[in-house]
Amino acid sequence: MRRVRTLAGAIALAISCIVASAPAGDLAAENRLLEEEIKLSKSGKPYIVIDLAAGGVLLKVKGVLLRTFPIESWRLWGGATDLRPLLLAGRKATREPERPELHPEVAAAPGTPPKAEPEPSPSPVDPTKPREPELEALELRDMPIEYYLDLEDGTRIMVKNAPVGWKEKLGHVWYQVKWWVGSPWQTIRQGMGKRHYRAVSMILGPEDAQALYWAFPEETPCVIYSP
Amino acid sequence: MAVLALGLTGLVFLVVLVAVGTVMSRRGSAVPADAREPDVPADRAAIEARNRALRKKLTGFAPKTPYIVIDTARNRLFYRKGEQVLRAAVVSTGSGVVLKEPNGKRSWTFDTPRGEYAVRSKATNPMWIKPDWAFIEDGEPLPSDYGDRVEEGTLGDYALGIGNGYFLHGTLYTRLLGRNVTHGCVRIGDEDLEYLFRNAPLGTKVYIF
Repeated sequence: MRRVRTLAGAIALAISCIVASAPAGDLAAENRLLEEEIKLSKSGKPYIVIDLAAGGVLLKVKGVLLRTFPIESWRLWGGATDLRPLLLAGRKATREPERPELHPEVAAAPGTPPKAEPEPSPSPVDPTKPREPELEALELRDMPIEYYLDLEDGTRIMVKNAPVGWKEKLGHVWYQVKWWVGSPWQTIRQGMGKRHYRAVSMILGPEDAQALYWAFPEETPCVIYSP
Repeated sequence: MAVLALGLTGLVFLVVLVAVGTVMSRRGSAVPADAREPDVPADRAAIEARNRALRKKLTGFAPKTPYIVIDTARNRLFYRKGEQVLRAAVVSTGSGVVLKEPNGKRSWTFDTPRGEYAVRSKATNPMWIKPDWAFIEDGEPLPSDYGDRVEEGTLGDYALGIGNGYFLHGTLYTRLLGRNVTHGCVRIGDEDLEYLFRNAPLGTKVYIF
């Protein structure tokens, strides 16, 4: 009986230790993140925090939250990061957005009447109405929905939307295969070069995925904060 | 039979690959166990105190007065104080178009610049001094007379300069608000522009992303 009590007491003590220490560990990690954010804020440049614990990608500057891109679901391969800010080294998409180019004609001779200005309209844009005709512009809708973000240490972030319809679901199967086979393969391949492979897969809403691509240019510092 | 054997071999290879990769990813983590808790005392109270201090320090970087946030992807402008949105507006930002000078070496990219800026000048009934690209884009010869570059009314009733020749200003083309159509400036509707002009003093921070 005495042994049982001692054992129960030991288990209770162990559980209480685990419960008490877990939040402190989280807080310590949060402190580490705050330290890095303070360093980044000194530059005045925007930075990205991929907060997997809270389920959002945060675009911030000087600690001010400019925009949140909600993460619908995520996976992390290769363990938690050390919260060190890493620069975005490159972005890869099947269909990279291209800037439209204008090649105007050679200037007309002096005295030629100027071209007519477009007709101004007094009505402001209504988001519920159909879009305006095509413009020569690089817009949000031109951004890819599925793409890779490669950080300077080799960490790969895979972004895509949740599959809708059978074609996308079929594509999602391929995406899963790439994750479950590609990640171990990369781990082995990079492990041979004494490098640690880490990857994050994030499912975002289609417009959020496009907006993240827009708001996350190369050379932007990024911190991955995982639970 | 040979196909079956080949398939089984492939399956075994895949299973081994995944298993080895998974084990390596766990064993070979570059993050030491204590890397996420550097220089932090084990004492919980101390960790909490440090958390409060760090949060306060980070908050100290944020503007104490209202500031402007411009989202160039959605073409939205927010006049904010802390997290509170005082005014939201639909705007037009840079088209991202590249203009190439015919028979020339110059080119221009019409992006709205991103980053941290501040309102550095304010003007009523501003005049637009048309730069070279405005003439080249329209296929017109560059004027020899400076006066031919001056255009009234194009920029609306007010303009707030943020430096490097970029302005938050009005527009004649209000139907294009919400689209990426500008040469880099931020076009704002009349009422929102007047609000900003009256409420955002010189020095107001402008964050563009």
